[in-house]
Amino acid sequence: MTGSGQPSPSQPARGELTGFHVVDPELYRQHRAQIVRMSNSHQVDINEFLPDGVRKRAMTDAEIAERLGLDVRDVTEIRVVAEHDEYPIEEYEASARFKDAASASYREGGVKNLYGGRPAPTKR
Amino acid sequence: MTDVEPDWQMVKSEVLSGALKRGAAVARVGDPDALAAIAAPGQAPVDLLPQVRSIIVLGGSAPRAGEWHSPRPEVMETVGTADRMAALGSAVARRIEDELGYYALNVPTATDQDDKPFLDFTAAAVISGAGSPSLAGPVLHPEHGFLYFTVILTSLPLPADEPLDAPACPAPSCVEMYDERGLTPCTDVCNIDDGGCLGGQIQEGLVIGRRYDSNRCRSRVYHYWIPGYQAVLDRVLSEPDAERRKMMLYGSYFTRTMWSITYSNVSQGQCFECMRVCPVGAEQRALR
Repeated sequence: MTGSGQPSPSQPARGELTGFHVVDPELYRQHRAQIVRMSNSHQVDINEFLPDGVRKRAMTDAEIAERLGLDVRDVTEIRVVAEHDEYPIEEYEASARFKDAASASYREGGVKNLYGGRPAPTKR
Repeated sequence: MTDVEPDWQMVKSEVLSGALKRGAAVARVGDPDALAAIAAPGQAPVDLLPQVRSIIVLGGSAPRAGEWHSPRPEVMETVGTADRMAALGSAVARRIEDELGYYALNVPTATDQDDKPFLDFTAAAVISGAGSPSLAGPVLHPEHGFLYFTVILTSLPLPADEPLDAPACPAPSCVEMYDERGLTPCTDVCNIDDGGCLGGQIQEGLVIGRRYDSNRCRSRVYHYWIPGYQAVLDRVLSEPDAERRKMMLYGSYFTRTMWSITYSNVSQGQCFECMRVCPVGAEQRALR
């Protein structure tokens, strides 16, 4: 994708980007961890007020596709699926316990983590 | 006879004061080129509106003090009213087009084709001085703290405001706490190394090395919403026992999730614990 948002000659047209494209599961397994690392999912030093050289913008799907030699549609699908696939339903269930503990901690006048990660969070 | 050049400062003042009267807590104007300079490729204002010459950023609709102080986190799970700012943005855009005759586009708050935002609202707020990013993530205004934002792109050539002189985060009390304990309130309550989403250091009054697990944050902010719905379906579709599938689909988690999706206008954010403990704007949340 170019800076003006127009697809470059090697990239699919916008309509194809918006379509129902199902990524090959083997390709997903092969590149999942790498693409999540290069994307915005796990952010480090992205804040806009940081000085040049310190601030690190995440790579776009088009940039990742170019770096890995993949189709941008596959990169987008691998990223979106992986973002949802990282934590299973048990993490959502643990979320309720976290909020109970965090709000109780605040109500009791302290800013301490009563949740403490227990029970240990799950991860696929 | 030639057209008289309008007093753009006065036009700006009228547009922004109209937004403030209609409920915005903060109204600023940003330079589209300044946003384009820090935006990811494909996310510049000109990619959405080729005629853009100004960015109007409106912030407001923060949760009520009583909601922040409720002992029930479920209350905060159902007061994420970002849509009120989106509606205000649409009204301002309509006024610009109907009364002033310039293009105005209220940037959609839904997701774009690739499950990403249409525009970086944080960056828009930063370049216009409507707030600054925080260690926790949300944009913070120095006086109001946490706010929802809407962004309007327009061909009106309004004079741009400057970014804040200093970021609202870290607050002085957070710097003190960090110096004592190596933690801030937000990284204490939701620590990335202890089952949470946030981490980072403070060096010379600046947040550095900020780490954020957006996928875990999703499981909390969209707890009973689209991602939770997908996570349940993933489990249901791989469950061979028909009776167990029924228990999952008719159970309390999936039922509440479906209600939340139905009432999506009040369920846009379902975790506020890092903001509940944030001292920026805390005086706005302290009543009798």
